Amino acid sequence: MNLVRQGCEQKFVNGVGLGGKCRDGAVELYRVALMYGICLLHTVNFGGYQKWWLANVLYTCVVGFVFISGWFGIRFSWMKLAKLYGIGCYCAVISSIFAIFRGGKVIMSTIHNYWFLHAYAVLMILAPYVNAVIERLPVFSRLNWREYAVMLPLLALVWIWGFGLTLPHGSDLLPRTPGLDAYGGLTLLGIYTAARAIKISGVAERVKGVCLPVCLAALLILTGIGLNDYNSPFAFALAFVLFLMCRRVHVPSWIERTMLWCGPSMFSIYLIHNTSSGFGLIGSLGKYFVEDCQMSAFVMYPLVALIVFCLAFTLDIPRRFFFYFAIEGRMRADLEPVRGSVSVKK
Amino acid sequence: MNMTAQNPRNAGIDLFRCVLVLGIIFYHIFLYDDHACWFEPKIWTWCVPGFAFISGYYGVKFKLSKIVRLWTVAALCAIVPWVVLRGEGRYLELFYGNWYLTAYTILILMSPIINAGLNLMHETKNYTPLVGVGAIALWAWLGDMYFVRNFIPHASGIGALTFSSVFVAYVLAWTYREIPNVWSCISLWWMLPLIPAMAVFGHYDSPFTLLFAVLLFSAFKEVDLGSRLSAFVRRVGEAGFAVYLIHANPKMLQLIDRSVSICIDEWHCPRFLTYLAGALAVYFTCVLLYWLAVILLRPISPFYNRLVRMCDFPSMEGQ
Repeated sequence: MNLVRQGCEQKFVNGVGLGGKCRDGAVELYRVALMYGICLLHTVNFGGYQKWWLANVLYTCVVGFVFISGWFGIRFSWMKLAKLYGIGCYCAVISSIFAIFRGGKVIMSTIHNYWFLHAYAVLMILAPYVNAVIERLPVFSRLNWREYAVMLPLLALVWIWGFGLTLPHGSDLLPRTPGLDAYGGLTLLGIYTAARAIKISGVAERVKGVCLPVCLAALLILTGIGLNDYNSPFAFALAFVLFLMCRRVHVPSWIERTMLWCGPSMFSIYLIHNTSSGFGLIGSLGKYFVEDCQMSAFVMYPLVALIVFCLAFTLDIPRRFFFYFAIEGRMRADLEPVRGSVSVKK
Repeated sequence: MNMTAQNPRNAGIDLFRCVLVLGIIFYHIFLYDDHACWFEPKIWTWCVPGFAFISGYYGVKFKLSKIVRLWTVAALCAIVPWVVLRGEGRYLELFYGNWYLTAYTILILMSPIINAGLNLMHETKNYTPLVGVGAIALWAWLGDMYFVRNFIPHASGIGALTFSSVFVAYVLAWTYREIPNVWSCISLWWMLPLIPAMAVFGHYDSPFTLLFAVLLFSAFKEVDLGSRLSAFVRRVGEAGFAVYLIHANPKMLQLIDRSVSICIDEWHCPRFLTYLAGALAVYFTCVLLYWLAVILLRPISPFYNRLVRMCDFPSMEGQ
């Protein structure tokens, strides 16, 4: 595992190898945990018997996903964008087939509702501009902090203006405009920029001691009381702290292999269950377990989230088979002589 | 080449700015007036991207003082409709209600990132990310188009009345300035087919609208005015944003529409003459109000300028 992680560090330092294929088992574990957290969030929100504190904290999971993108960097390519929408279309078809039995909506409206997919596409398009700034920054020190100020206006836009609008009476004090809400590309761009800057600055390596648990406790309280939206700086900080903690966990090799195998399905799991029919299923399961099986809500949440997670994962297997063996395999064979050496692949 | 290198002041561009503001007033009159045909407002849509294009041509540089000044002007401009409407509606809504103001503020806030990206692109001669901006433009345009929008995914912030349309015009202006070879093939004759195209597909984010604004900009850029006329045009041009902010307010637009309707329906004035006289009256009333405010606020302006300059953070350009 250490060898794998060292390989990743070498590939990604200061943006070299941006967008490479190297994957870290601990990061994949974090990614899987985040996706389970999102399933749990939707279970808490749509399964009834809502526990507001739990839901508030779980908003961080979506931020965490974008944080990982920022940590490793995005390199724009049309093929990636096409693949992203290919996954979106597959998941929309699956959800629509599922919706037919539940009287839900058709494919097009399902794709319309994938806010994260579209916001991520905007992020992919704008990422080269951010990379142009961040990749040139030196390792952070007291002497060069002013160079990092270049990203402050963007962060202020997302974390002060955007987040301010989500607070009570925020829209009375700050001007409202489309695109600055929590569900827009600008929000993801802010998270991406901050994560990329943290990676390049080397700040993450300097965090030691009891700092992490203390920050974690404080951030859990702050996000729990409602400072939790996707454009919240506290949600970002929580995602960062959890990421650091996850990276420091020693993962046994069999878990690492399992996570590496599961990792590529996470986005599909999100898209498959994040539809009206998916939420309907969550609601029905929640009602069944609590009312018919007399289960406690706190036991029902993780159970329903696990069922949804596993069901969506199973439904994604045919897509992976098609994408990775039929399309990507052929593509890699075509590109092999051009690229020369191929990146680390397990 | 530095994105924010200031071009020398051009009288032709100042004149273009005045024309743009007048065009926006025409657009708003046509948009709200019941007597206007469906295509009449659409052929004036090029005026708003024209404004963003000028910003892109000169380059926007982030300064907190710039944002403070912008919003101070907005706060003062909101007083006019508030007084005219005798306190009807909340002052803050009149103050905040302008989409272009917020979109332009977002552009200023994002300018360090955008400028650095564009500069790097120019240094490396790798213009691939510009294709992404083109994709955003196309996405916004198709997403706003009747019927087609049912098949285009909606993303927050991608549309005509959002930051994306200002951003696209800004980047387009950058290409006009830094990659002139791309634009060397355009000719003013292109305007002829663009007018009917705008009449059908006109919107702030339509490619026809953007191209029309570019063509007019390149035509006005070459205009040479005498020194006296240049000074006058510059003075009027300076008031352009204030004119826009004062009149482009839902309540004020209703008032303008009511006045135009009275002229046409009750006084039986010719339509064309009413629109022209109405637009000019609105324009010069707002310019006079702006000049009046400048004169009245002159005693406190040194104090204000010193206060605003204190907001400035060390320059963030040239990273």
